[in-house]
Amino acid sequence: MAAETGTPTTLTLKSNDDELFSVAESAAILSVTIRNMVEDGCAGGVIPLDNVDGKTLASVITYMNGISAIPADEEKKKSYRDKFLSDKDFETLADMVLAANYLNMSCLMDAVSAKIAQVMEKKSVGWVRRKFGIENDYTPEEEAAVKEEHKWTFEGVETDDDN
Amino acid sequence: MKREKREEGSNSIDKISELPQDILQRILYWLSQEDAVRTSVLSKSWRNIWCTRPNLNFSDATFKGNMHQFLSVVNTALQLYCDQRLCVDEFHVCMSVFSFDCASVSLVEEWVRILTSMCVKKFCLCNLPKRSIVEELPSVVFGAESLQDLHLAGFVLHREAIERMVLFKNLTSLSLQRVSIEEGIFEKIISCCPLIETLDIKELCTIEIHTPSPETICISEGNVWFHKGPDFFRNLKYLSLCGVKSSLEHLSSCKFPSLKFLYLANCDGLKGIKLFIDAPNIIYFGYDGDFIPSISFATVTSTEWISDIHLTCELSDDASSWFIKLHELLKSISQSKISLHFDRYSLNADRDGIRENINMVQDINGGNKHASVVVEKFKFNWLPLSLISSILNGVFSICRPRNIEDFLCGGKGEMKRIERLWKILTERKITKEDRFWFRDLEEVRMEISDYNQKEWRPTTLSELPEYNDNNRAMSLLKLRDYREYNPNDPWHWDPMSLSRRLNENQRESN
Repeated sequence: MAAETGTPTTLTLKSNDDELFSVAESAAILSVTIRNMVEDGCAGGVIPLDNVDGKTLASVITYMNGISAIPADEEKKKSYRDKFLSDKDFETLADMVLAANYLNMSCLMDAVSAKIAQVMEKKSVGWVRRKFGIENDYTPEEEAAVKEEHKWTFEGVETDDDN
Repeated sequence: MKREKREEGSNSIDKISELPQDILQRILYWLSQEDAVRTSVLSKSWRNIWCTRPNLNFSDATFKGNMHQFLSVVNTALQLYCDQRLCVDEFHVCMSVFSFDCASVSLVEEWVRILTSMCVKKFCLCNLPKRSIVEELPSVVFGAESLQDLHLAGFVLHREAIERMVLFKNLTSLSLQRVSIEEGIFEKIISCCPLIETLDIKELCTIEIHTPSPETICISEGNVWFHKGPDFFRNLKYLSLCGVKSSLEHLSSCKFPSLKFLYLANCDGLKGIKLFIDAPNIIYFGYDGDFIPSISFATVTSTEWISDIHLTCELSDDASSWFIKLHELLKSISQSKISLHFDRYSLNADRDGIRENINMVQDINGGNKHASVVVEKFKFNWLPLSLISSILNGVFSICRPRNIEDFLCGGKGEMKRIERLWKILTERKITKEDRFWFRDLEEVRMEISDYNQKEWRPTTLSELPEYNDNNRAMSLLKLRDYREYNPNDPWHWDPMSLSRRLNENQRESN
């Protein structure tokens, strides 16, 4: 995935588990965090990204290269994003949303957060808890009170034995 | 005690609840209000995340309850933000209320006041009941200066509502759907939005509100983006775009089966693109601008159509390429009756350089009369006297005008110009610049009419000074090798019959 341009426009990124990645500067500056470093002249050597592990960074760089190769065509970019995220499990998406947040990449952030939200759409509380492994720490009385407060939101939800 | 039953493939570690709150807010941002609010039941840590996300997103489509209950739910949520001193950046309410009562109207007004104080960025209020009826929009909406995105659907906008309008100095996106507005109001709105980028208009019509696609779109100033749905332009009869800066390239992929009138003026969005218009029933195409656009038309089936081209004549030391570009444009509209006007000129070189350069056009074009386009009327007011001869040479190198029109306002300048023109056309002195088109010019006559062009009378050069202000003089030219035309037709192009026909069509389309 390294951009073998041989010109000084290639940056080296280092993940928090010490993996090194080469990436074209033009693709890397999709990250505002990296762009700021480049503009401040701090991008000469290796850019350490302390909050991103190698597996996630590899994935983010694939995305950077893929999306920056598409000319200004919003529809094509959107279909690339959809395809890119289609096979990612929640674990990966959660890592990516954190990375996108840290790297300040709004387009990736929007796409990943929307993808996670999509999973919750019109789903019952019980289904969402099981899907994401969320532990219910309400007492039955507390839970009933919260449900009562927002009673109107429990119409039209997919039926669930837990709900 | 754990109540959760673990399913195979589900996550054993609760990774989502560990995400920082601002990321959870970004995730909830994408959900409908009910989906977002329901997350409060997931666990204690989720209790209040929904009411810290920066947006409210209500729709009564799935709401089980009456209008008042719905409005009350919206109101409670908004008050909750107010109490926490949190801002709502985006407010989105879609409903289908047949009729508002006074209490509901004042509730909506109160929301807008609260949102204005929160510096709301995006405001979307849609009321699209199944039975079409439109309610008056609370005029307070037009006081929210912070707006970046305004989306209104299913309302009436009266003149009074607009009077409260502030300058929307941040507004980049405006969407109006099934909004009934009086004439002139749209222009007023647009004039208050200097940064507008996206204009999304659906079913905007001042007369018929129920049509699925608009019949008339008039936009002046701003950037436009149209819904590209295949049917969106189905009913469009009249499209007028003035001062549109965003690229109009996407119009090339649209079909305009009903379009009769197309007027494009001062649209920077035409620069650098090749516009292709698929409008088989067009009867009028008007262009006004200071550059020559690249526009072509799909086969036009209407029996007769008119092109009215108004240009700034570029007189520079590269004037010849300007004329060649103009030739391309005229060729692409050669199936229409063309009226060509040089309304203004820009002079960017010394006159000798310009003259020399224009004379190159005939060489480049080889004086090929078969490649020339018939122009029904050519008009060239205000051009510098010393360049008339060269400009005529340039024009005749790329087209064959049947009529040359000029204005008489009683000034000496006009008289001199007409004299000069008449001499060039009648004396036909072959100078060292060989005027190849002289050979084809068989006959020249002069006629004059009053400003309304009701009646054209033959006249002569010497009679001209007797006429009062505001007369039009027309030199009628007859050149060989014109395309065939019916001898029963008036010899010159009759502008009155044109305007009559346009008026008739306008009435029809109304």
